Amino acid sequence: MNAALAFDTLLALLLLWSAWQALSTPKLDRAVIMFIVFGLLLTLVWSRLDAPDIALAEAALGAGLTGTLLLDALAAFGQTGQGAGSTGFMTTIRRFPTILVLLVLLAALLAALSNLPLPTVNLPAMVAQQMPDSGVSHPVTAVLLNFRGYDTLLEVAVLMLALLGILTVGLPVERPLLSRNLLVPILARYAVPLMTLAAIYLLWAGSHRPGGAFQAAAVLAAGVVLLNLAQVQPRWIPGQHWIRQLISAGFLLFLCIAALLLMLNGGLLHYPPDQAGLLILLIESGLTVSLAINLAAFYLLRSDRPEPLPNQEDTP
Amino acid sequence: MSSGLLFAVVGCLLFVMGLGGIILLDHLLRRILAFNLLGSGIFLVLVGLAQRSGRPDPVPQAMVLTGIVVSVAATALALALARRHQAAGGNTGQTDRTSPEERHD
Repeated sequence: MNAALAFDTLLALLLLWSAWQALSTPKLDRAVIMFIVFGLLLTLVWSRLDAPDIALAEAALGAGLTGTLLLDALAAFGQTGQGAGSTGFMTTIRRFPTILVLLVLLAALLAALSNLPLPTVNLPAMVAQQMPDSGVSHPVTAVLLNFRGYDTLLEVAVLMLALLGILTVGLPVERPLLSRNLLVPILARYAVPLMTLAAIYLLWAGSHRPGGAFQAAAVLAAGVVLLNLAQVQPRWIPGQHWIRQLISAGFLLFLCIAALLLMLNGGLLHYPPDQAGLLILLIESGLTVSLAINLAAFYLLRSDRPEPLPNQEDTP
Repeated sequence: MSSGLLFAVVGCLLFVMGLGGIILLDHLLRRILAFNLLGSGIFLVLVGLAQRSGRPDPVPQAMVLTGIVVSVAATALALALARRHQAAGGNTGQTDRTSPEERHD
């Protein structure tokens, strides 16, 4: 037990150190790398907290896809960022009240943690009690797609909204690749078939063990990004309508099932216990495709126009 | 001290660190990093506190799983906004210190 606590403490210190480095290291590229390190350490923390579902999602999304997006943006921003360590004396004086308020906030939060009230509801027991009617045997999947299915429905909508926002803001233009790493195509050739297989397995495993639509979609999206880096899959442009159609198809399937159940059973996403397993698998399959393309589009979607127009707003 | 409570404390520290980063750092990319650290801190508090007795709790785990996907979407949107800001001629924060007359905050 003591060894476990010692490991947790070491992990906690490493996590805080990497977070601090991500904010304070002078070079921007180093900060992004430290953030990816932070994501990988956080993956370890989630597995220490008995949350393998979150660990899978964190590794693929938190560290993987976010890291790719950040590195991609880094190239656009250039190497001009400075850290908090290089500030002058006057800036430190000006920042002092903010730091003081933050320290008071931290003290208040830690004081709140030190005398917590006992929980009034026992959620794990309630979930365990309802498990036989959920249609699946893995509690996290049961919560995600049955007990709190509307959360997941809204989440998919949020993802589509984010993509819509990016399309509205304007996509970055495709820049020619400066260097070509010959190892990446070889890696992609071996990894992408395995990743596809892993995604299908994760989707299937979600009903009875850690895994599910999100993790499967994350792995698939990472596979598409890897294919792009290996210069097998070209960038997507907004004119390709199949992207929008596939992204909305999974959401619409989910919405149709929800509406149908609302009319038949009188409750949003109240599955009949006999068909619950089948309906959840159907929804998850649709979601896997939609989410994978949506997540990959965050990285792959590029403007088909040659150059952005900086003063587009001024000309009517 | 259970590992749940330990990581809840770490979550609080990350939350404050991320909040400080958003307020105090100049570069937009750094602020996006800080925003992600803040979010991760909240996730750790959510799961860590629920599991302070040592038993896994599927409800906060499912919520955090949803939260991670949403935070990736938010990061992607934030990066697109930051890029557009830069493409439209705005600075991303790196030239702030050379023009102190613009900063009265």
